[in-house]
Amino acid sequence: MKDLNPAAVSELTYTADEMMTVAAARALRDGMTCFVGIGLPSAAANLARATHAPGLVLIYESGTIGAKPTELPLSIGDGILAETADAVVSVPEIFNYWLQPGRIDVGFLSAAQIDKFGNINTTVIGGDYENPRVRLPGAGGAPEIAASCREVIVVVRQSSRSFVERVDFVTSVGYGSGPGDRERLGLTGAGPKKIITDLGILEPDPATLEFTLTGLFPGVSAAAAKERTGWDLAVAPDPAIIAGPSPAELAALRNLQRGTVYPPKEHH
Amino acid sequence: MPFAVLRGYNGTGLESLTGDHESAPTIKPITCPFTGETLTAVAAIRPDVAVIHAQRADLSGNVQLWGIAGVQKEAVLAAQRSVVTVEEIVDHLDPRPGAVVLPSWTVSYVAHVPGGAHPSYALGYSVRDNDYYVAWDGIGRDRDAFRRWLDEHVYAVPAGHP
Repeated sequence: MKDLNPAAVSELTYTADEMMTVAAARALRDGMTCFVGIGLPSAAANLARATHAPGLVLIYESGTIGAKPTELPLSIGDGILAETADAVVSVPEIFNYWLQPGRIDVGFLSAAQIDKFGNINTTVIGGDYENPRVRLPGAGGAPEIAASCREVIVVVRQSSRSFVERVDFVTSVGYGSGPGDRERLGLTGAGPKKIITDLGILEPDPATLEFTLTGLFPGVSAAAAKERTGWDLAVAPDPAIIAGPSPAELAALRNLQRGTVYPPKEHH
Repeated sequence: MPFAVLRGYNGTGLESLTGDHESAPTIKPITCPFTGETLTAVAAIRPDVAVIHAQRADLSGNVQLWGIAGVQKEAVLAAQRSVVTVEEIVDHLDPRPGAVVLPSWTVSYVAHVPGGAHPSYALGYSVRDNDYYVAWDGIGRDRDAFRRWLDEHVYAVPAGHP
């Protein structure tokens, strides 16, 4: 297939998901090492590598270091990751030698449920662990990524059901119950610095560590973001209006997504 | 060794899960004797048998695999017995930089099963069948669909296939 030309992409027509992915890609700087979760984070990290951050080092939990896929992988096990990687190591090695010592700059994660302190739930919704209303895929490597990467960025669609006061189950720790918890728990990374959603960007308040709306995508109001948050979302005094996707960003994203089929969204 | 060590379970709900009522806990807190850090010990698994798929074996039963090795070597070495299915059986294995080698004395059985990783793949021999994984989402979600899949793809397959 012929690659999309940026000139052929209308700047005016993009989806909320595309805006989210573009904003998440922009959060990554060239040359960073990035531990990438599959799905939304993987799309954003690959977009960053295809646009402003060609030297971004993508690391997947399967042990592929420096993967350079030309289309989005469906799974951390996709062959294209191994074929394009600088090195492929075993799963124990990627955790013990690379992640736990603090060598990775940023962990790029998603969530089924997230709370105002950036704690992530990918385990169970409702009920308890033995008898949940919905059982989710589980932890995978996310707790270790959230603990040990120098910082974490979360990419997740925003709704009042998924953005809650307190997660039903803490799979991966953000700031726990507030300031001091990460230090008390011995978690070596700095924790989540941004939650990027399909509405805008949330960042932790420097004093309380409660996630606060600091950026909005074009056409989204703070009221709409509050409406789609399950806690009483604080809004920064003057939230930034994030620039919409450029034609180059949109073309690069759509080129990556062609040939990739995602499973249907989870229904809760 | 009796356990592996993680840091990231501190403060999670996983920390307080102590296994179901019939089984022993598989994770427990542990204090590092050198730094005093609280970490999580994860109990070793000693499977009766491990089954993995690899690219090649030689006539002596030495196995060579490469690409995303995951925990395949660990699974074989942890298990009491192992079965390795391979894409190809060769007279002698050529050394291959970066490949995992499982010497014949770590492997109980080798079977020649080309495509045996499907819908996954063996790097250099086949490609991952992502359409199948996507279709599995619906099959795995529905018990009747899963039963039909079993009937068609497992029970209906004659012994000795492929």
